[in-house]
Amino acid sequence: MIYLQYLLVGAGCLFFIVGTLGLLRFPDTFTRIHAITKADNLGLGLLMLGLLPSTESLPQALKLILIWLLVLAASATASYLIAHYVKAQSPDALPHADTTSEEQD
Amino acid sequence: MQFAFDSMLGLGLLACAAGVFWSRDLFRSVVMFIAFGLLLALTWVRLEAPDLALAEAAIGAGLTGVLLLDAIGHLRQHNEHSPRNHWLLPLLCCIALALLLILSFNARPEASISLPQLVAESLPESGVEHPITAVLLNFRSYDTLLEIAVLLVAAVVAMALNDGLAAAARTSTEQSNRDPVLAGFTSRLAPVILLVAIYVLWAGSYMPGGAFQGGAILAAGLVLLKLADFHIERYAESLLRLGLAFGFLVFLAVATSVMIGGRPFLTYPEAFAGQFILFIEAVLTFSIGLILFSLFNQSPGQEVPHDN
Repeated sequence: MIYLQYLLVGAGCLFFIVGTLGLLRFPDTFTRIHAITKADNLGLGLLMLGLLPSTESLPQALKLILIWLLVLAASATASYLIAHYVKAQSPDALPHADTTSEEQD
Repeated sequence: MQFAFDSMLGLGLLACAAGVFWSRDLFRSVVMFIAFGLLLALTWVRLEAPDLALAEAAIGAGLTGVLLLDAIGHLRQHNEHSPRNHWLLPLLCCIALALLLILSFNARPEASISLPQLVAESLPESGVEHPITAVLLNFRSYDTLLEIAVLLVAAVVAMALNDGLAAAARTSTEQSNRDPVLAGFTSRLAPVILLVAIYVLWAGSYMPGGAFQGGAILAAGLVLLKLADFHIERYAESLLRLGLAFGFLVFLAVATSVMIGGRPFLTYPEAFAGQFILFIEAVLTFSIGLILFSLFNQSPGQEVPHDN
């Protein structure tokens, strides 16, 4: 069980590292959002899954899941708002963002 | 392992602080400041002060961050350039303050009585189980009463300074441009935020939490609602103003009403101390939430309606 936890937490950390790398290295806002939301959603989800077996009680486990769900909803909304704002500021700045974002998300 | 984490935390704090001072534009500084607040909250957790961590995360990073971001928005509306050439003086002040704190920490007088022990001994009489709440609402409730008064004065001054501006902005942006995604998210989140605020308030009697933290969460919820274009303050403006003073008034009333029974100012009958504290904390949470929100609410709003 403990090795499974290590694996999950390690994978979660990997997603955070990759997401941060994407945030730093990707060329424009839309691809950066794409990278960082993966870190938020998958990375945090894996971390949460890895930590769940270590919880002492059911309420504690439920709180962990609640945190993940809240971050999921908040990061989705925040990414949408950022993308929406950028698009409103400069509608011609994204040559192919509409098609790629649909495919990848 | 712990040491590695702590040193990373400390270095991260220093890096964020440097970023606040030396980043090129104000927006980046504010984002750095928010990150700084979150790291500071983690630091308080590592120092085993979860009450401070909660307050720092909610007020230091959250609400102050929102206020600063809002201020930048207004600065950008008036002039595009926000030159950063005033970092030397604040930096010197901060270094001087840090040195002063370090010196006074090293030269602090030997405590003649052990306060933690004193608190632990009289905790059973306080009516609550969490020592921080016992100190704030019972042993040193005088301080808390005055803190609420200070907050109230701050909100009143902000309102007095800004009344005309806010009224002008209100009429100019009467039409709502509510974003559907943000509105949907906020309207679903608002009950959760309210629940968390009440939970933190309730938890304050036996674990870290309490009126200030709960109030800050409540204020964050109200700010979020306003940002999503739900202007609840417009529907009940006089009620809002009453609510600002409500916590302080109730606290003062309770504090003086015990004098009828011949007790000194601000002491609770021991049998009911727990209920007294919970009642005061509940109204304080409500008022602190409204006061912190109204500080944000006093911002003049978007003066120029954008076309997009």
